[in-house]
Amino acid sequence: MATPLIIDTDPGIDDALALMLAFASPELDVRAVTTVGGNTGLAHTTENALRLLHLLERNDVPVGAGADVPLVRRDSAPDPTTHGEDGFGGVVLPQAPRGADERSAVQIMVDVIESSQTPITLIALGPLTNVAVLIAAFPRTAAKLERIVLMGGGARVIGNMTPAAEFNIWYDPDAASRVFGSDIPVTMVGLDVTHQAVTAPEDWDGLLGGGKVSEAVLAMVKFYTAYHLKVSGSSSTAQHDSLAVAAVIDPSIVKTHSLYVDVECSGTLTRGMTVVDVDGISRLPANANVALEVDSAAFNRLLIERLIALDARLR
Amino acid sequence: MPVKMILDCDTGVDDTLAILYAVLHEEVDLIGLGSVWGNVDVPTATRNCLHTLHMAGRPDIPVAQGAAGPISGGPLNLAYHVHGDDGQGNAGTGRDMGSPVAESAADQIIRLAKKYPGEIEIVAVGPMTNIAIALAMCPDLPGLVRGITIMGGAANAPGNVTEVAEANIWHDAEAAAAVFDAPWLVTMVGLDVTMNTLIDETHRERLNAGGTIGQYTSRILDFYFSFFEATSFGERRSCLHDALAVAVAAGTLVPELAPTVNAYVVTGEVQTRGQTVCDLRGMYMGFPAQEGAHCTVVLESDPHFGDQLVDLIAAAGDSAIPLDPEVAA
Amino acid sequence: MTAIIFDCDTGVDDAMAIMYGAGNGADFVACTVTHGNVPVTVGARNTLTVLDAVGLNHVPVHVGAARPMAQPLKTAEWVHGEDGLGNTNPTPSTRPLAGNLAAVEIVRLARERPGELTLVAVGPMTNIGLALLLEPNLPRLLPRVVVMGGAVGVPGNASQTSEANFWHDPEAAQLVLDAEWDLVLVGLESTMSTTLTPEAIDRLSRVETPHGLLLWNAMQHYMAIYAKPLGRLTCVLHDPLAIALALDPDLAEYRLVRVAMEMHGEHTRGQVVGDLRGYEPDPSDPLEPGVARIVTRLDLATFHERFLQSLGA
Repeated sequence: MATPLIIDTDPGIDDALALMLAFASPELDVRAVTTVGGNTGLAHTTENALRLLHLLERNDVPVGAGADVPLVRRDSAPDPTTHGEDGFGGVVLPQAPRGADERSAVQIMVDVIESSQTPITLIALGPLTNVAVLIAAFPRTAAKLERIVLMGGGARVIGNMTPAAEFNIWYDPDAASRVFGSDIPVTMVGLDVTHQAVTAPEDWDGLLGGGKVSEAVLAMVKFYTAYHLKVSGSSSTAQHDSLAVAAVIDPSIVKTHSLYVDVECSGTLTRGMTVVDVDGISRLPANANVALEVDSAAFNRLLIERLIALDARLR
Repeated sequence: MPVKMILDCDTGVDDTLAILYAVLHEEVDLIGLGSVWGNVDVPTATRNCLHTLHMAGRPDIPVAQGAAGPISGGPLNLAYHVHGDDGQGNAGTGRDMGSPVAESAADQIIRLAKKYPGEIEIVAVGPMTNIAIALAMCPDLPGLVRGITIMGGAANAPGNVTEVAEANIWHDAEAAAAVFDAPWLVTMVGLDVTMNTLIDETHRERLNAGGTIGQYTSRILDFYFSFFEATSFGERRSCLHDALAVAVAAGTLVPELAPTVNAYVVTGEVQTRGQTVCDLRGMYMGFPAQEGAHCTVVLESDPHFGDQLVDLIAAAGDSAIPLDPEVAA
Repeated sequence: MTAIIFDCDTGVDDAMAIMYGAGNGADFVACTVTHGNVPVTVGARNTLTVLDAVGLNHVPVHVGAARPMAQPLKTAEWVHGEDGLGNTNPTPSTRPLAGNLAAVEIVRLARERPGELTLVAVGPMTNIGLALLLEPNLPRLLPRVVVMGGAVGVPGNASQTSEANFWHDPEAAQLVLDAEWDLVLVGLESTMSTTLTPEAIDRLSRVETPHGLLLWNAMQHYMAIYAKPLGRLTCVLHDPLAIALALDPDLAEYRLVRVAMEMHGEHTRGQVVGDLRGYEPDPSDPLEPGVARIVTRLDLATFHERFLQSLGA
């Protein structure tokens, strides 16, 4: 029976690929998509989610807009060079025939969680603002979640946005702190594994000459590759968000360790750092399953194969 | 034109007086109450909100239950030692009157703000958790309301819960920071004025001489007066923290000095957590305008506001519900 | 022979470092002592005792800072023993301590012999920080500085994110990282690989030199502490590695990394934040403030052998 999901996201190029992977996979049943500000502003992330779902012919899935700015602080700003101002690297998808749901992101989350017979898995691919609000405002509903699988943070590979912090956690450290501090099971898919979940330009060749999905993928990957080339000197691109989704499709793709994780909210240089107690120094009880190893080859295969199949289905 | 008001409170003895003021004063159109953790836990706050409304003959005003703890998930610090275990000075009736509505306090704020764009003044007299949640759920909220008035903070005055921090802010400094930083007009009614706005035993006598609503109010103030006697004044009196915020919000009390300044809340695990840092350097020149400032800090107001409040409650007549303590079956 | 100013908080592994140095060409111009493993007075007495044990009873020992710049004193007798030498209480040296205070002496020596001395610091950085404040020109007078401190890209030991020396005095550590000198940072990222092998332990257990015996006895408590996290009877050679690299830099390969101290974090005060993202090429100028050499590869076998030989094992 397919795993029922809510995906909270800030599309974002790697979010887009992750969403495609989710919708391409019979193991997953995406009940709702909720948007947050992060890779770019909320208006863009919401529009991107709507257009993407239209491309995937899934206008039946509600899209709810959530928070534009972080929970507490207003000094976070996206870096427009990673995903472009619009979040899709300049790739324009056809407009969706609908707007966002009239319910807010958190309200949709509550409705989906409360109405589901099977506990819902919440996959969070962006800053954790909406998730923290759900926990703060509706703790009993949030407690019904099966688990939260989040793309964020790092245990040994600790930073990309800054030397000590990964972007999603850096963007809203207070929200992340709330999520890790809740009693809800958390699976953290951080930079330790996402930096290994890379695709090379030629990996996407199977999509050449494909339909509308392939076209969109190739165009976004082109922008994303150019960014990675500039920043790291390599044309391999890390598929951060897709790995989080893959970990739900096939848990054997990552190996997790049960560890205590805290989020640094006060540091000057370490704001947004996930302090992961890999050596058990704190003696505090573990509160997260942190992915530290990944089967990169299996991930790569899964992602590419599913996207090719999705494209074929929708051609 | 009465001011449309949503009151978010952690009822609480002084919150009870504030609710009564809002219900009874013709210049206030109270359209909803939200309950929040703070003085007491949120179920107790909800119950006291309902009780107060029913007592004042306004069971039609909706009460929406809100957050049970601070937004970042920190420890719960309640104040039963100030407000009594029942939040009514250990003198409440113990009766459950009515029920809260289904929607959360934050959802109620958002729905009403959209229904009455530009009209509503949110008045928050407890920790600001619900407001921060509402801001996160509805990014457009600042533009949909008239503004927000808070009971909280201390610009020049010392703090109360710590040397520099006032209780509502300190309890959820992160939520308060979100409220202060959002792009709306924040009116801060803090310890600078509330510690000077007092009622004493003569006021309790006047309340006792009123109807049963006045008598009940006097009854719940007894424990509260004892707390202030022991910790702040050495005499039996209390501050009118929350009611003052309602009056300022409604315009029924016009402050004598309330400059608009840049202000922020100190967050994080530091000694000065919860301090409201207000830029008052312009005080020697009559407070010239500060660029980008959107926080009006009330520094001086009529200390005799208590007379107005007490007259209103004493004249309110009798309770619509029985007020004798409910005997457990 | 390499002329060295040795700042320490003796300390079991400091004792190891002194003995390593004595047997591997160190010319100890002076030892300066800081709070750290033990209070400064205890550390000073131990430094004299250890120097005497290796026949270096002409090396002056200068007392330094008794506490960190900006936080209360914390010591680690639980690791090093109440006496700082594994509770073996060796007969203390009766030599007097030298007159000048540590930071003053560091400055005086640097001015007296500009460009000649290597500063090796293996305790909290307080004395070094004080010296920098007293003499802003110090970086130009001291060509090489080798510090045991920090944990770049690996967990800490004093806290999850911070190594002990830097955690004990982050303000002083920040001064050291920001100074414009050629800094070699020997942190947990390199020292944790120096655990003694069972063969090495065996050789040590059969040592017969007086100083070797003194150290072997002092090490028992230290090894018992490390047995828990490391799972066997062994210990880590933090301070000896620092002096080893000061005496023979070619024992290791290095890269230059940008480093800075986190001063304010709730969980991270005392952490060395190194930029390992690789977004930019490594810095090229070791003298740049906020740039340090980190060890990338170590000739562990040679290091161990030299250590054992210096003890007569």
